[in-house]
Amino acid sequence: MDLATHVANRLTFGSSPSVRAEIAAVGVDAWIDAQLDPASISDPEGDRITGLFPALTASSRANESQGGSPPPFDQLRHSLTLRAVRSRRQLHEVMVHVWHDHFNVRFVVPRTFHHIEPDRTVARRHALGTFRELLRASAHSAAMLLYLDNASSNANSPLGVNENWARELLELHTLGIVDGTQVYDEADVRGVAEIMSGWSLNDAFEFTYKPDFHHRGAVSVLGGGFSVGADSGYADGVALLDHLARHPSTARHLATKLVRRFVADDPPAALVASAAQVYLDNDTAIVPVLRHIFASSAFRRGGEAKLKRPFELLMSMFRTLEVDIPDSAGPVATGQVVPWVVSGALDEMGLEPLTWPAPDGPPDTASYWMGSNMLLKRWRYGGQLTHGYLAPLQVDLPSLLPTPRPTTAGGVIDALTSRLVGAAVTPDERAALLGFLGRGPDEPISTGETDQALANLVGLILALPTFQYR
Amino acid sequence: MPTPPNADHSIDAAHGPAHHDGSSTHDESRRRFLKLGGASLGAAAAVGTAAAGALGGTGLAFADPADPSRGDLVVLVYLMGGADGLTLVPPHGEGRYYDRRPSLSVAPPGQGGGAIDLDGFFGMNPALGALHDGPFAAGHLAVIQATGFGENHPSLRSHFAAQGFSQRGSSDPAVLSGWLARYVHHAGLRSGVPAVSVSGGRLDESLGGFDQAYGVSTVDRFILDGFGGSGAERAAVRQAFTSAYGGHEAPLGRAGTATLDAVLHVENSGAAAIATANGATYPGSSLGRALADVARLARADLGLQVATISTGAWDTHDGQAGSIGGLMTNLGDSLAAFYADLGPLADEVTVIVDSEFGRTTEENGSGGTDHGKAGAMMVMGRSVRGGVYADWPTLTDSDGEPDLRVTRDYRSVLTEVLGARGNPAALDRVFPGFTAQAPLGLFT
Repeated sequence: MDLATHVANRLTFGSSPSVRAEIAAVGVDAWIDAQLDPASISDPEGDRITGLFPALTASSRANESQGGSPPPFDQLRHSLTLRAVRSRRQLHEVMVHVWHDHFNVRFVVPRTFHHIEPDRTVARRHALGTFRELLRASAHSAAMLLYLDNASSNANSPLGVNENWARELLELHTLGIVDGTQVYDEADVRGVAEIMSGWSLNDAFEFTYKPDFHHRGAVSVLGGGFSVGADSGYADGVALLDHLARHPSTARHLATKLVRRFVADDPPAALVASAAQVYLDNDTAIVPVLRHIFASSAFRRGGEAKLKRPFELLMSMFRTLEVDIPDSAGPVATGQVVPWVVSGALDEMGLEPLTWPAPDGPPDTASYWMGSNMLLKRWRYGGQLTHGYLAPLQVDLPSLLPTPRPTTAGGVIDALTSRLVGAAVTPDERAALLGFLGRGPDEPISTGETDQALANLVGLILALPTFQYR
Repeated sequence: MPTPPNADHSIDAAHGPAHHDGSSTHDESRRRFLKLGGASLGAAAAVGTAAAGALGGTGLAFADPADPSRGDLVVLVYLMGGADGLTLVPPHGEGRYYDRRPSLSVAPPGQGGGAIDLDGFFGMNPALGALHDGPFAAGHLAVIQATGFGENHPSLRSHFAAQGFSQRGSSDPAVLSGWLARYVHHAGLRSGVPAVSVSGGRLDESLGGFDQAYGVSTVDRFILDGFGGSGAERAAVRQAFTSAYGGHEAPLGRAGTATLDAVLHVENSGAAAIATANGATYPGSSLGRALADVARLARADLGLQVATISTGAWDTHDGQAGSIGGLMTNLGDSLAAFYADLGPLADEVTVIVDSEFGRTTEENGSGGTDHGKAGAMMVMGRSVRGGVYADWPTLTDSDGEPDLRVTRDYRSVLTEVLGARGNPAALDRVFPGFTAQAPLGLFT
């Protein structure tokens, strides 16, 4: 696989003819540079998508009071699908999902702001900014403060602080447990919960600092690495977050995650170490870390397989098939069409974005996603799409082949795999497809026979091992 | 939640195959993991024999009287999030319980909403009434209090670390496989479908690393479909899958190949046509459906030996009183329905209920409880000696923390279950380096 296709697979929601053309036009490095500076990319389709969904720009309070049809959460889900398929700021969109996963928020019955607000004010705003600001934004978000209970944590109640957020703040959001190594202990969890007590919400679910909920007394955490006096307040919480963001263990934790996302399930230790150093040297800025990873030989040689998770698989099908997703005012206004078909498919395959049930976010390692029924559903979905079983989603199958049509079985298969994957598939996979057509590579196949086989053939290509990797 | 590699060759590995070797064939991989595990040639031969037996169609769903060594079907129901053992099985006989849980205690027996007394000291939550009136009253349910991970570890209170410890049966990060994976592998139980997770299609971590463990979402949908055309075309599609995945030398290729095999086995077994028996009524919940599916798979001739189900969300930090009742009703009703459904077949089934940790003995300021240490386990089956088992540490603090101290390592309970009801061949390979406590006498 050439570097351009590899980059398209890893840095976008799926290789497609248009993104491969973009990369070919300017070269890999210039394309990556532009993706790291999304404001430099004109994205009229992305802007149009924003305009399609009123909830994305309405105030939280307006969304909350309207409820409305389609519900704001459905508008967000729909917009995430359309953006993943159509936005030209692909890497930015990928990073939005990375941070949604990192600061995962989940409610059984979501209130609007639980998802809209963190998308707007946390993950999307700071996707390529600094982690320090990203962490602050999450810590001020109503969604997180409610989800992990800090909103109700009252140090001065008879029962004391609630440790839930503090524990995940250390374990999941910042310091981490990296390769079984943990640099904090139970006393630190409690201490952080005490320092952050009072970070809460008012009756309108807006951030507010409640001094009467705040712990009274000096606290020292992380072996004396961070201490507050008896008169501590809101500013000390901000300082603690900054301290955590700049901590070397946080650097290692985040570098591990980012290298795992873009390079390999088992991140190469040397690249993690150097990426962590870049993070510290740049005061938690995210872009230099990504630039470092993308320039590394471990990334460029592309030897390690990364399995697409369900959303990535489905979006890559949409992108490479150039599926017609209706987004006119009608379907969007009813909120039914794409959310329903897409949500159902993702749920069957294992996960829809923003629905992971625990604060750790969904795993980005292959083993989790290879359960038998998960594989069956991945395979099934490509077939359903190409057979037109998923109305109103439509695929123009004949357009996937060049004109004039190839006249041999091998020619048809090579044209389709090149068009859909952007590279050759493995010899075993090619043989399997030839076996399906029941002929040798040089045996002739008529246009009618090709048309007859096309839906199954394209469905099979989407189910090949090669297409499961990003 | 972290999961170890599926279908890899690391089942006993001191160090897992973080990088799979793209050049190794499946057979080479198997030889390699046996070598890493220090298995003798005899063990390798046993694996081969069992596999050959399965191909001959001798896979039995249940313990064969003529071959008692197969052991029971072991079903692990895992309560994700850290279930509050003090609410499931309240120690109503200890006054401290009511001091520490001013709003989150279960009233003593005899009061409105009070516990169902079990032994004068412990009670069962009334929301588990169906479990009490069915299996417990029949003497087929053991409740073990104050169980948990018996070692000190700095990450014990992390959901994700503790789930890993309890599902892998070790805190050693180099142990990647699940404890049930090691059990079923070393027992050589390789019939058609020896091990499943019915947890939404994914494989639970306790079965991670066993190459014949399958994630099933529902039996009805465990099929290869989505493709069209004539029967011949669909057969050609299936053949193409078999070729493409069979030729792919990576964990994905092995998982795909195993999945295609399992789909054929399940199709041929007619499992999808098997009905719930004995008038049992399962709740419409995912747990109820999963247990109903385990019963169907067990009745089919698939040689099922291990099934796992993960069910959440027991992480009750906030407003516990409002959420835990429904969870318990669902748990109790589902287990009671499973017990009823199995009928006499429950002679050859043992169910284990476990969670990553218990919760703090004190409630917090949000009307909930935080991550603690010991919790409660349950073991159900017709060979179980029913009752409450507890070396009760009392609700005094553990090391200055408001926790219930662990007096029984859950691995001791699991060892006892496998020793009494499992295939004995594998016992010393399931929890390497762990010395089990003396058995409690959970079985008749």
